Amino acid sequence: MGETELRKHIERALEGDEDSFAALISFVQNKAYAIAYRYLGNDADARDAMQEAFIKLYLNLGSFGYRSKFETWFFRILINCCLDALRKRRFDGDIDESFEIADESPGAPEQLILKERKEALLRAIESLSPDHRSIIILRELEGFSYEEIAQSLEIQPGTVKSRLSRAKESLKKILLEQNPEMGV
Amino acid sequence: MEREGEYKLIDELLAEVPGVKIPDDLHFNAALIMKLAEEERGVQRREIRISKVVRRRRMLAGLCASFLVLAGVAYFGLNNLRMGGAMKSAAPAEAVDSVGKAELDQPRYTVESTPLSSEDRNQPDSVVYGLGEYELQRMQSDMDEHPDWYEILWEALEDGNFAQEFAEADLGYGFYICELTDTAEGIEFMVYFYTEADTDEFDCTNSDSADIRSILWKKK
Repeated sequence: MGETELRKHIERALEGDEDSFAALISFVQNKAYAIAYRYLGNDADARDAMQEAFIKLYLNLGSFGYRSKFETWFFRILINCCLDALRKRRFDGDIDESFEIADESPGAPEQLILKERKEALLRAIESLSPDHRSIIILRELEGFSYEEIAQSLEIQPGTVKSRLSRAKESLKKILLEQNPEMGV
Repeated sequence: MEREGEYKLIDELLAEVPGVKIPDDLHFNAALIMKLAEEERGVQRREIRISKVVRRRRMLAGLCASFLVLAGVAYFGLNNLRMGGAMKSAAPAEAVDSVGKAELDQPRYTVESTPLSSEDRNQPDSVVYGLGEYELQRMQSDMDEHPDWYEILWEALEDGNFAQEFAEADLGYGFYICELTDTAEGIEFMVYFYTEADTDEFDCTNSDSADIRSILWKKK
C-alpha cells in the first residue's frame, strides 16, 4: 500500500469508515501475526493479542502523527499487547507455551540434535526479559531493520545494536544454564 | 558491542528457526473491532502511582532520586503491608492506620499520578517503563478526565476489607497500583507487586519480574 493510499485510509478510518479500517488491518495483519506468535507461542493467544492491538489502533489512530512508518507504530502497540498477555498469563498461573519446531526432516541424528538445539533456543528466548526478547524477535526472527526496531520499540537507533548484543549475551547465559552440554 | 564470532552458534541457530506460517483463515472483522473499541472508550481507566516519602529521605532525593523512590516503595511495601497483614483481625479503622499513617520520622505519604512524561517513563521504578508514547498519552488523558482518582483510592483504603486484602497480598519488595477500572461490581485495582529488586546493569527495574494482582473493591 502506497503512502497516499495509506493516509487516505487512515483519514477515512478516523471518520468511522469500516472499509478503510479493514484495509489498515489487512495491511499489517500477516506480519503482526508472525510477531504475536513469536511472543506468545500459539495461534489463539496471538489472535487475541492482535484483536486487542487492533482495538487500541482504532482508539489511538488520531494520535498517529506520521513521524514514523504506520506499520512500526502499530507494531509498538502490538508488542505492548503481547507483553501484557504474557504478564496476565503469569498472573493466571498459566505455564508458558512450549515452542516446538515441526519435525520437517527427521532422520539423521545430526538433524535431531539441531532440532533439539533450536527448541532449546526458543525456550531460552522465552526466558529473556521483555526488552531482550523483543529485540531478538524483531531483529533475528522477523528480520526488522535497526531503524524499524528503533521506531517499534521507541528507542534510539544507536541503542538497538548495544541492546541486541546484550540480548545475545543473556541468551547465551540462559542456554548454558539450561543446556550445559551445548557449550555455546 | 558484539565481537566477531562471539555468538556464532546462537546466530546459526537463530538463522535456522523457521518462519511463522500464516493461517489461511486469518481474518479480523473491522466492524466488530470498531464496536469493541467504542465500548472500551467508555470504560474509565487511569494510572496511579503510590509511594511513601519520608522527610529525611526527601533531603537526599536531589542526590539520588531514583534510588530513594525505590527505597520508599520498598519501605512502604515491606513495613506497612506487613503491618496491615498482621492486623487483619483488627477493626477496619486500625487496619487503615497500618496502611495510611505514620511511624518513625513523621513520614508523609504521597500519591502521585502526574506527570507521565517520557522522563517519567524512564524512571527505573515506573510501571510505565518501556511503554510507548501513545500509552502514556492515553493514561494521562484518562487521569485528566478523572481528577477524583485520589479520593477513590483513599476511600478504598479506608474500607476495612480492602485494606486487609491489600495488606495480605504483601509479596515483599514493593508495589504499584497501576490501574483502576470501574466495573459493574465495583472498582478494580490492578496492582503490580515487585517480589524482588530485579534490576539490570542500568539500574532499571525489570517490570517483568512483577507479580500482577487484581483486587476488586466493591462499592457499598
